[in-house]
Amino acid sequence: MAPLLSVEGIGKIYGEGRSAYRAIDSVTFDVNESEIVTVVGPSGCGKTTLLKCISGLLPPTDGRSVLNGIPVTEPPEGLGIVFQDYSRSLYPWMSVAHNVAFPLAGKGIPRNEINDRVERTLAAVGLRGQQRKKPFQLSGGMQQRVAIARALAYQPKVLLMDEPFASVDAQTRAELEDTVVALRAEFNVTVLFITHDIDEAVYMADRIVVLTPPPTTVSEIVEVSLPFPRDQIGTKELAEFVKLRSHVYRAVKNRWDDRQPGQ
Amino acid sequence: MTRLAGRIGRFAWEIALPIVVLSYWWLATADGDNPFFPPASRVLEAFWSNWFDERFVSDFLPSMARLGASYLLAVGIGVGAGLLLRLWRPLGEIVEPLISFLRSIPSAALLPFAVLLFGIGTNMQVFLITFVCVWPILLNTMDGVADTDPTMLDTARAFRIGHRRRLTRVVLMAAAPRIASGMRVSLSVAVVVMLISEMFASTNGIGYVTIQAQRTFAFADMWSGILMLGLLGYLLNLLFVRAERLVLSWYYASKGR
Ligand SMILES: Nc1ncnc2c1ncn2[C@@H]1O[C@H](COP(=O)(O)OP(=O)(O)O)[C@@H](O)[C@H]1O
Ligand SMILES: [Mg+2]
Repeated sequence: MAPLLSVEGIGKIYGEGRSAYRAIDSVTFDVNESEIVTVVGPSGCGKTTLLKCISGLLPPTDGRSVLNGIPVTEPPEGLGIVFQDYSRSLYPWMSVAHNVAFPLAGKGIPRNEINDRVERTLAAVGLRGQQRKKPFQLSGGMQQRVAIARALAYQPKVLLMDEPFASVDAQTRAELEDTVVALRAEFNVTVLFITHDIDEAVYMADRIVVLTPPPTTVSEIVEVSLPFPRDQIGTKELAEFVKLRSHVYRAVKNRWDDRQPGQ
Repeated sequence: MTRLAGRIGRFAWEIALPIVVLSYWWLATADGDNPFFPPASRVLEAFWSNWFDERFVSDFLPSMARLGASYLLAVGIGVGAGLLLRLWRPLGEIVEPLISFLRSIPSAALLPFAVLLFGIGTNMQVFLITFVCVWPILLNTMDGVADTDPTMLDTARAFRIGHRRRLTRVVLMAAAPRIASGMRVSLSVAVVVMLISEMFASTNGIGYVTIQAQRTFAFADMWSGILMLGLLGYLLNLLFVRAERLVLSWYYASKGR
């Protein structure tokens, strides 16, 4: 079966001439339907750049991404994005419900279907009854839930998430991780999840794409055979989890130590 | 407790101070022996009979109509052109020096030219007020649009929001606080320019009545005009600030103010 999303040798150089900076050398991997693939790499290794190139928000210097057999040039239908910075990705002048409905309006979707989707997705992320609030009246974790609901209501084939939980507290983060894993089944969506957190990358994944330091390539792709449903305590106690975690940790750490001797 | 007391105290002062000033005015002018300062009672009488009698239709309303029409025109042109110049960058860069020059021309210096162009009358005044009011709105719109958060724009693009909705629901809304502050500046400028144009090139209006009164030594009438202009500026600004708070409540609330 052909992969739903393939990332084919994407590379990105920012700037030109002497100030040119090669943020990504060449990244290649596939995402199959219904998978959760996590991409892990430390800050500054080009994860956001990679997401923008995959989604068509930024033209890559080399390579391309292909969604459902069609090369991506602009953000395609069937792609939902959750950005890292929810406070700048939600629109503060719109209510929670309006934020979720906004991408659906003007696309020929009947009014009552829009309302249904808004209600269903907000309930799925645990925000029943918060529809009329404005984003700033919610906590950070709840705001990111709104952003997730918005992406789900859009009914994407692939959900791209860029370090979505990097700025919420540990407890909220664990809850949100479980929410996303559960939503995959409920909404039958494929997830490409970018993070710098190794525990998170292992906990959520079917497969992990480990990145090298810049100029970034794929260091290795790790299959995860941990059973579902996952559990913040039970799963993390499994020998398999501990082994994977150490494995990925070493892969990331060694690469960075090689690159930055003495640091 | 102390905060509440402080607020009550400040509120008391806010009421007391005008009363003190008015009382002083009343007492100091009561004997009417200085012709430049007629008794307050006569000024108030003139105020009433000037602005709420025939002059309401012949002078007050024309002034307000000029002000309103020019202001709306300035808002439309300022916001529209500001958007255009930011969305179409090359054009914006070409006309930027021209804008800096035009906005630096003092309104009084433009008056002779405006009279030449339009003659004396409402057209000339609308031209002048609009011309001067456009710049703060235009420049603030340009800045507001340029400062739109890139993540907000990426979000709109990612969800394939159409161009028109992106413009009206995202870019304009993101720029709205800046546009509003430009509009507030323009509102006070509009009153001043209306006044200048009516004083020196008009056959009716609040400014015209005021300057005519001064020229004919009708000082009570003159003061009634000054009072009216002061009140007008004050009330318009008050109204504007209230409306802004309401419309941009999301902005002030998210800024924690
Ligand atoms: N618009 C840009 N212009 C130039 N350099 C950029 C730009 N965006 C990101 N970079 C650089 O590219 C590198 C990777 O950035 P980013 O993709 O944000 O990394 P990550 O998301 O992994 O933290 C960083 O060194 C950053 O400074
Ligand atoms: Mg990033």
